[in-house]
Amino acid sequence: MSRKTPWVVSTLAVVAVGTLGFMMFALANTQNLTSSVTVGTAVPSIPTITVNHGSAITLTANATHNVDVNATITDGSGCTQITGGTTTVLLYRSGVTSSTCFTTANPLDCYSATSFTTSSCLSGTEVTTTTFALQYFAQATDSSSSYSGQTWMATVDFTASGGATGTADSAAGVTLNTLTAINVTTSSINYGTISASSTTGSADQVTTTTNAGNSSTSLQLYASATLTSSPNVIATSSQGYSTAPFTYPGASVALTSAAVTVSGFTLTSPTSTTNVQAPVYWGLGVPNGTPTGTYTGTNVFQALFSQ
Amino acid sequence: MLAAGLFFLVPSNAARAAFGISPPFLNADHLVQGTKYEQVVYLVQDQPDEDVHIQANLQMDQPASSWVSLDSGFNFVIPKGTSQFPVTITIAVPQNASLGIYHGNLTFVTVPASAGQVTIALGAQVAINLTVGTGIYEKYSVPIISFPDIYEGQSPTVHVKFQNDGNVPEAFDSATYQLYDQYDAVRLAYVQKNDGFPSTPPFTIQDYNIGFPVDFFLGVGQYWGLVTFYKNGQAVASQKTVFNVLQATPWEIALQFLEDHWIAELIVLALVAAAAVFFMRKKRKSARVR
Repeated sequence: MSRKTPWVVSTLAVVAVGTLGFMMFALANTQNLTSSVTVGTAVPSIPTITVNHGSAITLTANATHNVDVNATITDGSGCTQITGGTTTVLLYRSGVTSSTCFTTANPLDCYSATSFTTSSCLSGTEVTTTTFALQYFAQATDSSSSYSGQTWMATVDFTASGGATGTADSAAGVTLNTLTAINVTTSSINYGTISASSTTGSADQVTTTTNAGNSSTSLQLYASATLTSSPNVIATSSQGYSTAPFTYPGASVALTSAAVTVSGFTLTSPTSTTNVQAPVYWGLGVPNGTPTGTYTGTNVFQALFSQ
Repeated sequence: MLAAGLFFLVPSNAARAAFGISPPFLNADHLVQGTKYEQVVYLVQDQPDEDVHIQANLQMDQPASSWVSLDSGFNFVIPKGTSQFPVTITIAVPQNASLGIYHGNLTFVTVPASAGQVTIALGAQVAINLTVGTGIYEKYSVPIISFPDIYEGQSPTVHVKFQNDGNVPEAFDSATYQLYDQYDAVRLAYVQKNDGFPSTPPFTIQDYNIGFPVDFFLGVGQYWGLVTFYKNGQAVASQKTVFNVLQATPWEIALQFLEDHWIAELIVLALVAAAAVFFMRKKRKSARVR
């Protein structure tokens, strides 16, 4: 053992004694408060309910989107009352009201569930999560929607295993955002083989556009890449479209390179998973003198919000 | 010869996916000079089976087009597997901007991955409507107030999500916090707080925690808290719920005690300093003996 070891030990001892003394001092200065109360039959309560973690809901085009409802359920009689209980959890547009939603579920504005998931119950309190799969056509409540000023709220109705019940609404709802989306069920327009100086005549090609969101939708069309077989091109205006069958050029509208809203074309907001869709008819006139080749191009179908 | 010319447009067999945007509008009605406004829009699709290249295009009344920027840039890729892709649109109004109303639109178009085929690209549009004025506009909400669990000895804490939709910074003026026992029957503490509330900038959402120190040791167990926030003398948000106090190690208790009691902190520092001086002196003394 070196000669300075005793000093090191002494120093460490001083620090240790000081720290120990401080911790005893700290603990001695704490006060444990006790309280007592006479408890009768406990009623479950639901002090907090949160929808989508307090954030606005954004749906997914032509699909469902999961939205969480988190609730804190307490029961003074203990966890067995909660874990053995039953529940109904509602998620709805506020204009519908919980009383209506309890009786009539509707994917437009009211979703109902009878179970939740939870990690654990502690001291008669359980934090629960119920996940709802909202359809893409669930009704929007943002500023430009038909239900501006409303929100999506949740109500939890819980019955403990002993039969006592508790019901509560979320203190604050959240906005459900407007979704403007489309799906074109065909991936290409195939005009086939056409000679120069001829047209598609009455053999229109058809594209079907489906509303994949929760708003009414107009359609804009344009060519982002004109028909090209390098170095040759066919003018964009050689393609024509219409919402009704035609014999080229007939009543068709010439395609442009700038977006143009299709006249008379509106897809209303879906009310179920049944598709809301409409056709667009396409034709082509090949100018005289167009060289032989494989011509390719790109046409853009653009969704336009129209409430 | 020309009449015999033929051409082919080759069909694609690729499956189609729905594509859209949410929300399809950006309405900023209460901008003032020097304001920064942000909104997130989501590009959504139902079949995110492959990367999707996106081309954005902005058409805006001048000079407002130079105020608009995207966190994604104007050419970007939505990675495979992403059904909701967020794009933050930022409007930075210059200090010398002319007061007025500005309109425009922002389009997002998928760039077809397959070359050599006639393809249909899908697009979506955000209508942009800006109003630059001079008036103060106050609008805020508190969508979330929660009570996170804490360790014994710590002060009760409240988590707040503050959404400021107005064009001036906003903060609470004061708050009261009442602590009850696990049965919500006996009030254990009442705390009033008159400062220390974070300010939320215009047109933003901010999450923060606010502590409410109590002058006694909060032991392990379950408690009820009731918090009320005030602004301009009015109660603007309130929440009552349960939270848990979890068991902490003695060391965590001591650290928390130090945080709460500066005199104790000084005593510990003095002890450590004394030990250091003691050690140095002894070291010098032993060096002289050698």
